[in-house]
Amino acid sequence: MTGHAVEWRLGNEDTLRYLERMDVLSVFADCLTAPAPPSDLWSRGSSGNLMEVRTLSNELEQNNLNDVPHILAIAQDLLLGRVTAERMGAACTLLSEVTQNVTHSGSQGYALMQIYKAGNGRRVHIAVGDTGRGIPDSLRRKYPQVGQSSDYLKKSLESGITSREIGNGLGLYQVQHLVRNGGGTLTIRSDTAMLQINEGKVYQWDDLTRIPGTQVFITIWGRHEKGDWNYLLPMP
Amino acid sequence: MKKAIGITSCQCLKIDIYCLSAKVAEKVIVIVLRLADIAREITSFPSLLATRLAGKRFWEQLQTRLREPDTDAVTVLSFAGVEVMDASFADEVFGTLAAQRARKDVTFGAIILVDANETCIENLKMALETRADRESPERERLRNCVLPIFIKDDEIALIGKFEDHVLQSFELLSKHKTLTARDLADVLKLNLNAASTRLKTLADLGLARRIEIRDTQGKQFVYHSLQ
Repeated sequence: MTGHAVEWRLGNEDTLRYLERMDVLSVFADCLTAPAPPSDLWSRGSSGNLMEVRTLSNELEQNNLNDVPHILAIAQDLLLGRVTAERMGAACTLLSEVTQNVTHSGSQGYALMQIYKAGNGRRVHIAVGDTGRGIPDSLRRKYPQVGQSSDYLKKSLESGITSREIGNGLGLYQVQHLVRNGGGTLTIRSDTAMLQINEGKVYQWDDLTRIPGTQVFITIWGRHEKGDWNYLLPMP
Repeated sequence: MKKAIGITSCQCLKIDIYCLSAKVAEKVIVIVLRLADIAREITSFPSLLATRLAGKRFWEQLQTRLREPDTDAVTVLSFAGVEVMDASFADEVFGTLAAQRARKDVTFGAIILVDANETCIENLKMALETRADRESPERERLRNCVLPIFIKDDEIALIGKFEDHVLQSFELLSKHKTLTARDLADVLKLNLNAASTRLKTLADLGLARRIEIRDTQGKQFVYHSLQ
């Protein structure tokens, strides 16, 4: 992994602590890397473009009635004056729908957001992670014949697909719809698989190192300057 | 003559509107419910209508405020002050309302949505259009999952999933303001039963007000547009 200042091998407890900081991580088949120690990258309490990591309960009432609305309120403050009202609404929808899903995982989650100048506009990065069951595991019981782990990630984006017996399966469907319409990138890393939607195409990876839980990473709007933005894995 | 509908900050506002047609003066009671005021009872962030559980709680509150069918009343649900409504919340409240209405599980009077911003409309549209596909296949499949919404220039549009004939009848009724089954049958060259069924479907979906009148020819229903 030359060219990366920091490398965490799985097994290092810090890995899990920093999973939520996917914005600055690269995910490879057997490790996660970052260009600098997370403490240097994220200890910026005065940063105006950053929603610092917020924790999310997996308990339904706490998550849905408290954590998620608080995160949306903070996100609105951050986005106000930087993006249009329509984009602020879409960004809040993305945050809301993904952060609610932490309740499926059985573990605490994390959310963060950052805004970057990109050309004449702004680019929004959203990352939500947890260290719980993971999407393939939670869907496999209800849909046993789907295929490999990455196929379950793809399945999770379809309308009506949910791990619950009486469910809805609307949230992630709307997320991928907004990302596609916004010219963004959606990356989901869960279990041994990863899925990425970029420029209308869907990419899947399997047999990566198992990472507990699910990490969702969204980039949207602004120019995607290839080379300047480090996509998580080389495109297959 | 129609009075302008004013929406104030009060939670429930009744406005009497008198429409003078050629022969009769019709009194319409408009009840305005501000969603942000209802949300205040369940969240500290009433401008952010988000999450499925909050939607469930909100729906419980809203149901207690919606009136039983009343041909003289229209309930206006105002999004004024709502900045974000996510798709899950929209599905839990408005998807449930539209689905229950389509199945005739509830019998609320006419309801119109107003003041929704683009985010709310986009998420509402997604919730209503996909509702039928997301329900259990064991349930009777929804053919319509639709609500009327005020858009610019005082025009009422349909949002959600609806059959072609529903849209056609709705647009004709909006144009003519009132229709009987005979009127619709004549315009669309349908038999009387088919025209009657179409108009009744509109009323059942909350897209028209149905008023019974008795005259020398006996009893008949006149359907009024929500406009």
